[in-house]
This record gives sequence, C-alpha cells and structure tokens, in this order.
Amino acid sequence: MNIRYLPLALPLLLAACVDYAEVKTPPQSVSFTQKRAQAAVQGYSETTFRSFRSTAKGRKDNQELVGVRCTLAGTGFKAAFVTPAIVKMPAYKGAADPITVTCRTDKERTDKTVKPINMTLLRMNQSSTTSGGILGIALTAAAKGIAKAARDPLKDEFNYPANIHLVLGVED
Amino acid sequence: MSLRLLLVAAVLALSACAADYDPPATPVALPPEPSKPVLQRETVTVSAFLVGASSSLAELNTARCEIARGGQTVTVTTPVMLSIPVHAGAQEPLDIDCSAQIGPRLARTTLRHLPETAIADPADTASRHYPEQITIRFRQ
Repeated sequence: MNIRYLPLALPLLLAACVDYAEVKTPPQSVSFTQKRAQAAVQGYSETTFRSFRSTAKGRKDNQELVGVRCTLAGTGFKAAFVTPAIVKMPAYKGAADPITVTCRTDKERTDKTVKPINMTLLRMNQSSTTSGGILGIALTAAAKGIAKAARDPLKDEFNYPANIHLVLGVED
Repeated sequence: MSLRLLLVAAVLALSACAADYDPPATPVALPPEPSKPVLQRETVTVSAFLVGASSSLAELNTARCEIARGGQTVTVTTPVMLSIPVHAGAQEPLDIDCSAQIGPRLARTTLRHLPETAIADPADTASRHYPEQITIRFRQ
C-alpha cells in the first residue's frame, strides 16, 4: 500500500470499529404539514438518526443511547421517532431549509439544527482534478468556479445528511 | 483541462447571466393616483432571480409580485413590463412584494425602490424617474 493512502485508510478502519446499535424499525416517513412542501418533493433519501450520551466534559464518548424519543421539524414536514431510526427525508430542488431535531429523556434534552446539503455543489467540488502542474490546477479551479457560477440554482439538489447524531448531556 | 475548454466554460458562464425569459410585450398599467393628471408613462421591466451559492443565478418566471405606488396596486407575474404613470411633483417610491415557490417554501422578498428623480417637472417629459430595469432577488 502506498503510504499516502494511510491517513485515509486509518479513519475508515477506526470507523469500522464503532459498533452502532441495530435499527430494528423499518424506515419511516415524514408527515407533511404543508401541501406545497409535499408537492415540491423530488424524492427521498434515508437519514439515520442516532442518539449518544456525552459523559466527559468536552469529549463525546461512544455510548449510544437506544430508545430516546425525538421529533424533527422542517419547512412543511415533521416526524417523530425513537432512536436509532431511519427516516425517509424529502429531497428538494432549488432550495431546502434546515430541520430542527429535538431529543429528550426524563432528565436531558438536546436540540440540533441540521442544514441540508447542496448535493449538486458537493458533486462539483468532489469531481476529479487534473494533473498538469500548477497551471493545470489553476485552470481546473477556475473552470470549476465558472461552472459553479454558470449552473442553474433552481436545479440544485438538496438532501439531508445520511447520518445525524444527537448528543445528550455535556456537549463540546 | 485545456485553455480552450476554459474559454468555452467562460462563454457559457457569461451566457448564463442573460435573462432567460422575455416579458409579455404589453405592459401592465399601474393605475394613476386619483385626481392627478398623468404627465407621462414610464415602462419598467421587473424581473426576479434566484441567487444560489457561488453566485449562480436563475431567472424565475413564476414569481408573483404585488407592486404598489401611491396607494395604487397591481399584481403581476415576473418578468413583466410595468407602465408607471408619472404625475407632476414628488414621485412616490415603488413597493414591490414578491413571493415564489422555491423548494418546499414560499419564499418572499420585498424591495422599496425610490424614484431616481424625485420631482417631476411638467416642462420636462424626457427625464425618467424610475429605472428601466428592476431586479428582485431571492436567496437560495
């Protein structure tokens, strides 16, 4: 293995060690509170919601909490679930708004605002770069910038993250 | 990537700045203020755009706008040519309140456009008091 791949491989290996609780319920749907939000849906993407307890000050440990009741609210839709859960989140074109997720136990509560991801822009940023020295890199960066500015923002695809972690207790 | 491709991309980018839709040829008339004689009419093109990340732009042909001036109101869909009556004396600002379906939400944006020349002189019917083009911007 080339040594330069080691920094990439290490986090993947470590991530594989984290043993998350099995999601035992089938993916659930959001309920729409506004017809216009429902009519604008372009598709659905699954988001896994997990809750954790942060026990050490300034440091999140890996203690996953199972059975925490959560609600989420977005523009024109909402859902209630018990973690861990998979929710089929609506995908939109043109724009999407952040969602607010609230999880609570008898003693604790956490609120988290999660922004949607502009997948179109993400794909453009992640597209392959050229190898052609500094000039090639500069030209590619310039072309990417032009392509980003030239795209139609009405066609931008917005999804919510595939994984959302809610941390109860002390958060860093 | 070659310089040629970069130039093609630049040309495409510049073409994206142009308006995508033509307004209907017949202007929508804003009613004159009651009991005020009309010195002249000025035509203003009102367009709406969605501004995305990285300065991308898309013209909206579905934005609904309520345009008010001096107590008179018209409701239009962009792009539109608006015929504004000019009365003698002080000109009222244009209040534009637009909404458009963008993603899941009905986005709203408002704009107050002050007259470029505040006072209309009956002896001077050549000067404009409102701009030829007003652009409404929605944020992504």
